[in-house]
Amino acid sequence: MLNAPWIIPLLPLAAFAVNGLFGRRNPRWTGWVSTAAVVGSFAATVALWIASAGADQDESLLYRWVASGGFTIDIAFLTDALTIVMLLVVTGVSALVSLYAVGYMDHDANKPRFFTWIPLFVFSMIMLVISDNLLQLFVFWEMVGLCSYLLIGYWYDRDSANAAATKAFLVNRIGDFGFAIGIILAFLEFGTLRYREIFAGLGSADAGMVTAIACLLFVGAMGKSAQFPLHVWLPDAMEGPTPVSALIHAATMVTAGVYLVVRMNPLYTQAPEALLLVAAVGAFTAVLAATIALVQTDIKRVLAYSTVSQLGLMFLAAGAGAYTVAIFHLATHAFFKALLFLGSGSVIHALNDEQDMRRMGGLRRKLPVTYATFILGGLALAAVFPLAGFWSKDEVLAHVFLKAAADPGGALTADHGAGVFWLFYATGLTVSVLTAFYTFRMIVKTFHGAPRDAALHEHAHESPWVMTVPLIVLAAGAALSGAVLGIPPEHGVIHGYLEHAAGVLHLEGAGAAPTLILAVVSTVAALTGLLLALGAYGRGLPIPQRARALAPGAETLFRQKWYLDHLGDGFMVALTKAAAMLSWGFDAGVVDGIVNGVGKLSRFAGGQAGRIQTGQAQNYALLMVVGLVLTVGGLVLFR
Amino acid sequence: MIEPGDLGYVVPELIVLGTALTLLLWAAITRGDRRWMSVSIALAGNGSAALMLFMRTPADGAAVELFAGQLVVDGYSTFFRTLFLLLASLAIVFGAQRFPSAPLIDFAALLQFSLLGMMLLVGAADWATAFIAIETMAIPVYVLVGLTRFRRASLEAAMKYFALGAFASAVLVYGIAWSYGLTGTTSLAETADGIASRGDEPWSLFALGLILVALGFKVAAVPFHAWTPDAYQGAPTPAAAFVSVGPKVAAMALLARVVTLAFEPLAANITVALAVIAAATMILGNLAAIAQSDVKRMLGYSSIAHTGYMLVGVAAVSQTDAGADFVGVPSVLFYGFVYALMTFGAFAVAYVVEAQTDSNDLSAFRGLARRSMLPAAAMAVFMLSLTGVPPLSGFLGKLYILQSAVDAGLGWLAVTLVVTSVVSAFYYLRVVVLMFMEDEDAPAAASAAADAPAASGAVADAHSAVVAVTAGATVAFGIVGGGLLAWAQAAVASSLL
Amino acid sequence: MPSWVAVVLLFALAFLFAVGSLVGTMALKPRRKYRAKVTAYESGMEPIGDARGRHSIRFYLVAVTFLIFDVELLFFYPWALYFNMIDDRVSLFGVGAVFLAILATAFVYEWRKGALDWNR
Repeated sequence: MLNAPWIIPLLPLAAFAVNGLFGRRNPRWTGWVSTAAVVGSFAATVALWIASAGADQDESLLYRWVASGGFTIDIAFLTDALTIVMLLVVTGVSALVSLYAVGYMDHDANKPRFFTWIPLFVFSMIMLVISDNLLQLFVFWEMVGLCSYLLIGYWYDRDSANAAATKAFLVNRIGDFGFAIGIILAFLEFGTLRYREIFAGLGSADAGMVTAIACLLFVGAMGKSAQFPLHVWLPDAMEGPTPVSALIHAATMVTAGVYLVVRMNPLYTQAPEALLLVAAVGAFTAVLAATIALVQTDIKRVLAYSTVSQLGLMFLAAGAGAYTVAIFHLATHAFFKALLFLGSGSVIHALNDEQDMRRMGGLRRKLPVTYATFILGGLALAAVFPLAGFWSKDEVLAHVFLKAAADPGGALTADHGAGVFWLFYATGLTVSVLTAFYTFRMIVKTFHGAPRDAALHEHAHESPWVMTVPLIVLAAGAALSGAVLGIPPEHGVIHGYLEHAAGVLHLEGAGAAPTLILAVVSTVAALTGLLLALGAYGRGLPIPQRARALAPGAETLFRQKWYLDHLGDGFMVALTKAAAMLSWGFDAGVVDGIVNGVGKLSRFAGGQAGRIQTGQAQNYALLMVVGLVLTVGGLVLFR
Repeated sequence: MIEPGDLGYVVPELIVLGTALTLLLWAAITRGDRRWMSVSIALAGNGSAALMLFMRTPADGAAVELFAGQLVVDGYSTFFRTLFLLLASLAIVFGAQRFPSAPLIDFAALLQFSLLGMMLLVGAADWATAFIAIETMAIPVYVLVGLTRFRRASLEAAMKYFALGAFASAVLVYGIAWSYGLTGTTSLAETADGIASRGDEPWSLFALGLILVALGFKVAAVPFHAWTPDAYQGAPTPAAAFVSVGPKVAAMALLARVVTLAFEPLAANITVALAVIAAATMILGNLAAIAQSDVKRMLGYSSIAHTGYMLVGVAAVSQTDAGADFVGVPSVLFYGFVYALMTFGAFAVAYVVEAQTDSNDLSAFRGLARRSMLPAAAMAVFMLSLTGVPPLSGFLGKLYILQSAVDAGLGWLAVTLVVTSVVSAFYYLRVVVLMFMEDEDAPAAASAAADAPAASGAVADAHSAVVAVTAGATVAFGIVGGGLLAWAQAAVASSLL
Repeated sequence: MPSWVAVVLLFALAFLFAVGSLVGTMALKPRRKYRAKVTAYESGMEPIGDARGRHSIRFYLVAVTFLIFDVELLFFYPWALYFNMIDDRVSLFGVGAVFLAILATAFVYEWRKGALDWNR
C-alpha cells in the first residue's frame, strides 16, 4: 500500500472526472473534492517517499500500450529520488493552492470549471514527472500546456485573457516543436525513449547527435520554463486567476523545463556545448527579467518577471553542472513564490481585484497575516540569511563561481567555456541585488506608506482561513525549507537524497573559508538591494532619480521590457507568426502547405479524376479493363 | 457426402440462413408495422449465432476442414465472422432508424443473406465455395444499394454497382478457370502445390492477375474503385454503412487467404503488384476525398484510402530462407476490425445529420456540436481515428501496418502511407472544424428524409446506441488494442494460411 | 502434324467463310434503296409504329421469376440422377427437402409480394 505510485495520479484524475461530470450540479463541493484529492495524493507521495527510503529507484510498468515488433509505448512509473522530490513539491504546493482557491474562487460563478481543470493539471503534472520515458513525458507536457491554456483563458469573456492564452499556447508551440524533433532524433539515435536505455546508450552515441538532441530538448524547456526569447508568454499568463498563477506559472508547470534538463543530466553532461547554452540562456534571462521587474506596477507582473528570473538562475545552476542545486532552488522557490503569489492574491482579493500597486499602500494593518507571510516570502526571495532562498541561491552562485575559478583541467572545467562563468557569476550577483530591490519595492509600495486609494483601503479585509492557512504553511516552508534541506551546504538532506538521481558536484578544492566568503558576498549583495529599496521607497531617498540620471534611458528600456513586446509588433509577432506557421506547420500547416499544393494539384487532379469519375458505368468498366491489362501485364512482364 | 459432424460447425451460418428465410416469410405473410419484429428476429438470430460461434470453435484452436475441403473453420474465419455478426446487428438497428416497416424487413432479410455470404467467404477453402459465397454476399448488397427504388440516385447506383460487379465476377471466374486449368484443382491449399511445381511461369501469373483484379474490385482498390463513391452516395445511408465495411473486409479476408495460401509460391510477385496497387489506392483515395462536398462521397473515397492501408499490410511479405513470411496479415485483421467500426460509426452520425437537415452535404455538419453534442463528439472520435490520431484505434491500426511494412522492407510504401495519412487529416479534420468551430448558416430544416419514419424514442435511442458502441469501441481498441492484436495474431496462427 | 491442327483449320475456315461472305457481299452488292427495301420485315405484315415500343415491366418480372426457378430446377437433375447411386438416401432426401423449402419460401415471398399479380 505504501509503495503504490499509481494512487498518486489516480486521485486527481478521479477528482477531475467527478467535478467534470457532477460539478455543475454541485458547485459548492467542487473545491473540496479537488483539495481532498490533491491532499490525498500528497499523502500518498509522502508514503511512497518513506517506503522507498534506501531504494535507489523503482520502475513499474503500468500499461504497455503498444508492443509492435521492437517498438513499445509504455505508460510506466519511474520513482527515483528526483521524481519523489518533484512529486512532493507538485502535490504539496498544489494541495495548498487548491485549498486556497476554495476561498479565492468562492464567488466565481464558473468555479466547477476551475476545479475541473486544476485536478486535471495536477494529474498531468504528476504523470509528467513520474514518467520513465520521453514520449509519456511529452504527452503530459502537452497536457499541462493544455491545462495552462484553459486556465489562463479561464475568464474567457476578457479579450486580454483570450489573447494571453493564445500567446502562451503559440509560444509554447515553438518550444514543443524543437522538443518533438529532439525526441524523434533521440529515438533515431538510441532506438528507445526510455531514460535508462538512453543513458545506457550514451557511450556509443554520436557526439554531435547528442549535442543536437540536448539543444533541442532545451528548446522545449525554454518554452515551458519561459526562458529568453520564449519568456514573453509568462507575464501575460497572469491574466488567469491568481491561484493558477501561483500553481502553474510559478511553482510547478514552469519548472518542468528545469526538471527535464536535470532528468536528462547524463545526456547534458555528454554535451558540454549544450550545457553552456543552458547556462548562457539562464543567466541572460535572469538579468533581463530582473531589470524588467524593477519597473512593473502590477503586483502580479513583478512576481511573474521574478519567476522568469529565478528560473533563469535554476538553468544557470544546471548549466554549471550543478543539477542537484537546480532542483534545490526549484524546491525552495516553489515555496516562496507560491507564497508570494497567494499573498498577492490575498491583497487583490481584499481590494476587489485591484492589481495596480500605485493604488495600494498602507495595507500592513488591514492584512496582518498576509503582510507577515509576505514579508517572509519576500525575504526568502531576496535570499536573506537564514531563509530558504538564501541557501539555495547561494549554492547556485557558489557553483558558478567555483566553476569559473576552478583549475584548468580539473573536474569542474572538464567542460568547455569555464572562463565565461566569471561573467555568469557577476550576472548572478547583479540579479541578487536587483531581486532584493524589486521585492522590497513591491512590499513597501503595497503594505507601507499611506493608502493611495482611500475607498479601496476602506473596504480591505483579511482573507478567510482557507486562504490564510496555506499562506502560513507556505511561509513556514519559505522560512525553513532551505535550512532543513540544505544544511550543511553541499551535504544537506537534499544533496544526499538526490545524489544518485541527479548527481552531486562537490566543490572540490573549495574549503569552508571560500564557501563562507561567497555566502557573505551574496548576502551583502542581497542586503544592498534590500536597503536601496527601503531607502528609495520607504524613506523617499532620491535613489531612483539618481539612477535615472546615471543611466538615462535605462528605465524606459526596462519599462518597455527591453522592447521585446514592441518587437511584439514586429519581431515577436513575426516570431509568433513563425510559431504559428511552425506549429501549424507541423501539425496542420505542413498539411496546409501540402494542401495548398494539393489544392492546386487536386484541382488539377480532381479535374482529371473528375474526368475519370464520369458517372458512366461503361467508362468505369473501361478503367477496370485498363487496370486489368496493367496488372496482368505488369505481373507477367516484370516477373 | 455430408458428414453430420460437419454441420455442427456451421450452426452459426445455418442460424443466419434461418433468420433470413424467416424474415422473408414474415415479410410475405404479415401486414402492419413489423419493424420491431424484424429487428428482433435479426438480432436474436445474430446473437445466438455469435454464441454458437464460440461454443463450436474447435477447442484446440486448430483448423477444421468441412464438406470434403470446401469450407474451413479456423481462428481466422472466427475472427471475421464475429466482426460480421456485430456489423450486421449494428446495421439492422441503423436500418430501423431509416426505413419504414415494409422496406425494413426486406433490408433485414437481404442483410442476413449477405451476412451468410460473408461468413462463408472467410471460411472458403475452395474456389467453388469462394465464388458462391462472394456472389451470395454481393447480390443482396446490390439490392440493398437500390432499396430506395423511387430515388433515381439509388437505382443508378445499384445498376452501376451490379453491372460492374458482374464484370468483376466474370473476371474472377476466368481467373479461377485458369487456376484450375493450370493446377487441376479448385482447392486453395492444393492450388499452391500446383503453382509451386510450375514455377513463376507467365500463365500462373496471368491467373493470379485476374483474381487480384476481381478481388481488387470487391475491396475497391484503384483503379477498380470507380463504383465506390457513386454507390455510397446513391445508397440509403444504412446500406452504404454496411457496404462500406462488410463486403470490403470480407473480400480483404479472402484476398489475404488467397495470396497467403493458394498463391503463396508467387509471394514475391504479389508483394510488388499489391504494393503498387496499394500506393495508387492510398494516393488517389486521399486526394480525391479532399475535393468532395458530400459526406457519403467523402467517406467513399476515404474507404478507398483505407483499402490502400490494408493492402499495405497484405503486401508486407518478408522473404526468409524458409519461404515467404506474411508478416502483415495480423495487422490487416486488426485494421479491418477497427476500420469497420469507425467507418460504420461515421455513417451512423452522417445519418443523424441527414435526418436533421435532409442533406448529406458537408455544410450540414456546420455547428453540429451546438445542435447535438454527442453525435458531434462521436464524429470527432471517428474522424480523428480515421486520420490516425493517438490514442484512438485508427492510430494503432496504422502503427501496426507501418511496422509490418517496415519489417518487410517496404520503406517507400510506409512513407507513402504516412504522407497520405497526413493529407487525409485535411478532409477529416475539416469535418471536426465544421462541427465544433463554426456556426450553422441557418436554422436546420428539421425535415427528415421523405420516406423515413419520424424516429420514435426507442428507435432513436437504439441508433444512439449504435453510435455509442462504435465510438466506444474506437476509443477502447485504441487504448487496449493489444488484446485485439493478440486475438488477430492467434487467429492467423491457427488458420489454414 | 498434331491432331488438333484439323480443328484449328476448321475454325479458320469457318471464320474466313463468315468474314468472306460479309465482305464479299459488301463489295459486290448493288446499292439501290427504295421504301420496301428499307422497311423492317415482319412476316409480310405492314409494320406498325416504332420498333422501340415500351413493354410493361411485368413481362420482365415474370421473365426473371421464370428464369430463377427454371435455373434452380436444374439443380434437381444431378440430385435425381445420383439418388439411386448413393446409400445414405435419407440425408440426400433431407438435402433435397431443404432445397425445396428454400425455393418454396422464395415462392411464397414473391407471391405474397404481388410479383405474380398482373393487374396490380
